[in-house]
Amino acid sequence: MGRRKVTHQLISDNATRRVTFRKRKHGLLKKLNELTILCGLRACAIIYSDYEEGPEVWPNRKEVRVLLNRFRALPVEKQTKFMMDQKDLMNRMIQDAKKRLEKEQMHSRAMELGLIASSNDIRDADYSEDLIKAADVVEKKIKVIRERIKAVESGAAILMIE
Amino acid sequence: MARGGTKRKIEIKKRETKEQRAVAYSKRRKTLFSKSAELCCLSGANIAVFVTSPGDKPNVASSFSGHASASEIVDCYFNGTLPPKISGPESKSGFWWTDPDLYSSCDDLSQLDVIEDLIKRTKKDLMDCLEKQEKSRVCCFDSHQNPNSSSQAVTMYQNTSKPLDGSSQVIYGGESSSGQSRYLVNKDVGNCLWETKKENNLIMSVPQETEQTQSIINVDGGDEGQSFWDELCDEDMFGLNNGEDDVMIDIGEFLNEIESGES
Repeated sequence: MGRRKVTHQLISDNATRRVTFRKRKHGLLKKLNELTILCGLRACAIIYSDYEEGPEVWPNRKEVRVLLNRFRALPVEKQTKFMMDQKDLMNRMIQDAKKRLEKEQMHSRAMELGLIASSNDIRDADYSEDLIKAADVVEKKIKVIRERIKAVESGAAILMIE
Repeated sequence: MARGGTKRKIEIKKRETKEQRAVAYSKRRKTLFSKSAELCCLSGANIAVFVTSPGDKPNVASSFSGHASASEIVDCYFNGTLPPKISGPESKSGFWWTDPDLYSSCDDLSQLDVIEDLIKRTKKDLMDCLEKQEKSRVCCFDSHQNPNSSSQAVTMYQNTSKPLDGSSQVIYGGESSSGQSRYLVNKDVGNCLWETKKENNLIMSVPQETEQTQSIINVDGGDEGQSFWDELCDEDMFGLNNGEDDVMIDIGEFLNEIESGES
């Protein structure tokens, strides 16, 4: 997705940079607004840029002042507990990606075992552990099928195909 | 969108259940922060975003995707302006113009023009600075003094130095126990006494007058003991230690900022 290539560094061309800044800032504030409404939160943003003298502030100065004073009043540990910067964001993304990878790996493992189990020529002692696991999977499937058979025989409808 | 979840239109109003709100919060906060990181990265703006948590607790999650920490930005908001960090991902070692890949990342003519302009400006500033140095140098004293003759040092240059007005420079030297060294000092003194200053451990032995003058004479970086000519011959060509040329200091600070602050 995305029509243009995005380099993750400072844009060198001044004009493009300014346009990008404006567009993305608009989008950012829009998302912030949505978050506030959807979750019933309070939020604020302060933006210092080269394109404006002072800080640009969302939603309005009063709210920002109120929230920031509350923030400052918190003890330091609470202030910094959820403080994130780009590094932290990156780390989080990495962790999420790792988790997804593990999940996918488990899936593919299970499917491999299924394949081994279903293939007719089983070589002995190739992957002994895996064979055991494959045997387990097969047994489970057999159990499920038997139960289905019972159910069908006793007249239940054949609806669910797993 | 081709990937995973479908793009559903969600009505923008408060979510019903607590769980729904919590889910929306975690998802959207993540995208919000990554978008602000992008904005800050691509446009070099300094940003801080503060979000409270949807529970009833007064917890706060904050992102300071900007180039400074959230607390800094908060302080600056209540006081004055921020130090901008507009510097790009330049090379960490050496100066930006020595980067071999300087031109390879340029896509069009405008970027090359920008680089050329910067280099020209740098060169011009350096030339100006050199000229200034040449003109206003008063005396260059190359002494091989006996380090123990402190009394000699005191009366040294009062006769030989020309009277200067406005900002001027005096180069005066003394020999330290570690070797010969010369100071490059930028002075704005009108009526100040012109006295030499001995090097570090010998300062104590110098009579009172000199010590007084020392407090008036502002030697920034002169305590390092490196002379103008030594530095000129170094790799670090433009590290003139008196802070005279703003451009040069910028480049030096530039790199320091990058080294210390690059995330």
